[in-house]
Amino acid sequence: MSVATELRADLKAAVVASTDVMLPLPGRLRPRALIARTFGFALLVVGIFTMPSLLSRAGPTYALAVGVIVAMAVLSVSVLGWIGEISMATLAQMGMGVVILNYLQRHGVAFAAIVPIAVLASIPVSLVLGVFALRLRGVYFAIATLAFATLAQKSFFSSYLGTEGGFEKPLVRPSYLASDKHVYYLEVGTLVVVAVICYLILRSPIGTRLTALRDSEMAFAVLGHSPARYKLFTVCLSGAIATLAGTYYGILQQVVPSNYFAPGLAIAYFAYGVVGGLGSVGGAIAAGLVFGSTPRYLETLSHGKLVGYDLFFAAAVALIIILWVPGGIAALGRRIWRRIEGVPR
Amino acid sequence: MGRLLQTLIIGVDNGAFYSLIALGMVLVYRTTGVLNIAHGGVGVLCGFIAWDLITLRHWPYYLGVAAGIVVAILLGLAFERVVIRHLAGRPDLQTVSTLALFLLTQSAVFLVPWWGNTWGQLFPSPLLGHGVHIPVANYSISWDQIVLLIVGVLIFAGLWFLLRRTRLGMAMRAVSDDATAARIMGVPPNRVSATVWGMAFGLSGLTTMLLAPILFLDNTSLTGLTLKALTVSFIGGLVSLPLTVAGAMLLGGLEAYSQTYAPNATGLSDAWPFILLVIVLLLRFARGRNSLFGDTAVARA
Repeated sequence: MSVATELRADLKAAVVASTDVMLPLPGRLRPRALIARTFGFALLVVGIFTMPSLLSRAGPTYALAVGVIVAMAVLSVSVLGWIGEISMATLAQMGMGVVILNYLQRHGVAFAAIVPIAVLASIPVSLVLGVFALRLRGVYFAIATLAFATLAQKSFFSSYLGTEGGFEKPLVRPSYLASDKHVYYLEVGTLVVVAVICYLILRSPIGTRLTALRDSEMAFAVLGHSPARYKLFTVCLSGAIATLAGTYYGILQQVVPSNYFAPGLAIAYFAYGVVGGLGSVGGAIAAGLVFGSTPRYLETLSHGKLVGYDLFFAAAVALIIILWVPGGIAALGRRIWRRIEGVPR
Repeated sequence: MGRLLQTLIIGVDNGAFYSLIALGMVLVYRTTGVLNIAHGGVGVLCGFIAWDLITLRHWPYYLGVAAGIVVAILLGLAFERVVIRHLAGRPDLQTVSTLALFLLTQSAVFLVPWWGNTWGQLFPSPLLGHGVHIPVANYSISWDQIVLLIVGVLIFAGLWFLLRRTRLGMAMRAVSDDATAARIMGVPPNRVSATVWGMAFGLSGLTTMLLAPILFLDNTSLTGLTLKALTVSFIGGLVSLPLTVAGAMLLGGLEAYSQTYAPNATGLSDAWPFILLVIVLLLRFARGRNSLFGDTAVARA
């Protein structure tokens, strides 16, 4: 057997193994699974619309709105898991979203136009990080992104946004986003679109190739694909999601201090990503929502007594997940859902 | 001349801070292949425990410091037993677990309300307030800084001797190179691994006890030094002790030089570690190369 044939066989086995963990596509569903998915989808839609009212006693809608933004940021971390990389620059890319929002608002650009501009403007920053991704791997890439994030925070954000709590550069909400509830619905709508895009990419030939690239870059290159192109694509997608999250964070908070973008929080977001299951879409969103909104609800419910426990809790859960549930929430959820649908193991 | 000498002293002093933290990281990486990011977080937690015992419970200073270091060693042994051994053969996951431990220990400090850790706590060293004036440089150096420099040199020499000249050091290197072969030759890998993690965490505790009287006991600033220590340990290829110390001195010197001669260049001093780190990462670790100075430096370590 030639080397190319062996590589092709290895690659096929790797792709089959990775797609095996996914649930079947809707077209091939059995009646029980179809009912379960329809019911699940309906529950999700009802949940999205009723959540602010259902949780109104536990805390303000602001808590949920923050949760959705954190979910977007964690999704951005998780997307890089598709190529087996870890980024600590998520917060820096979110910071870029805030800076772009502020800059364009001061020049009279409408918010509706700012969002797509911010997404496009994230590409050059992502390409800089992409250069690191092409040269470095694994923990070295992670440390380089951490360095990038720290440099951005210390040198750029602190001088642009100021260290006085960000009051020098306030951000203005348009009239149609006057309340936190409106911002929440906009965020959820955007998150759903982003999640669907990510899911479709994962299910497409691009997703299959990304899985192959993660498993064996050399085999991937030997088969005539360009690892650089796929890596840059993933880094840019991840950066666009983070920048979008930053833009929404700016519009929600209206005042953002530069120290929010300190890299310590990026490490926490990575921990959330581990809990969700790196590379998964649903797991990342679930982990982001839980870890993003729970601390705010606990703060309200305990009248300000339970503050600062979130990082400790997230780190402890991340450690447990690393040790005993390597696939995170995504793997657990998939296992439970398979039982509900009656899919044989 | 006086200004230059002053800059040099500050640079060496800063370099000693970074060397101490980085040497612990290098010890773990050299002997286990794991990048120990938890180093700073563990040190800060144990520093607060020692501070609590000395300041709030009125323990004698050296007993409090010793208790803090013992807690660090026990934490290292427990982490090795529960996490590192469980993830044996998966250095990437082991590194990620040290990241989680970093978050866990750093946030644990915030959970104790009476530690008041949102500001720097004064670590009550008996040498506090005493120092030596150097007239040529017009600069006073505290005894705590001098002790830190001396201990830094001793730790460097001790680790170098341990890794190169002792049976334990040889066992550590043997396990790192090939655990199976080392086991066949009678080296117990688990015991060696426990020793390494206990030593590394003990070192991180000791480092914090030495730094805290100079920089105050502050969660953010002390863990922030971990990032700078990462830079210098990368300069040493994560394995070379002399190159790590040289890198620490280079970084300390660059920072001191920027502060003295370019005070208006806001952010330059803070940016140096990260500029250096990016350069080193791109030159050294790209495409499988191990060292700026070739593989011989790594082999010699």
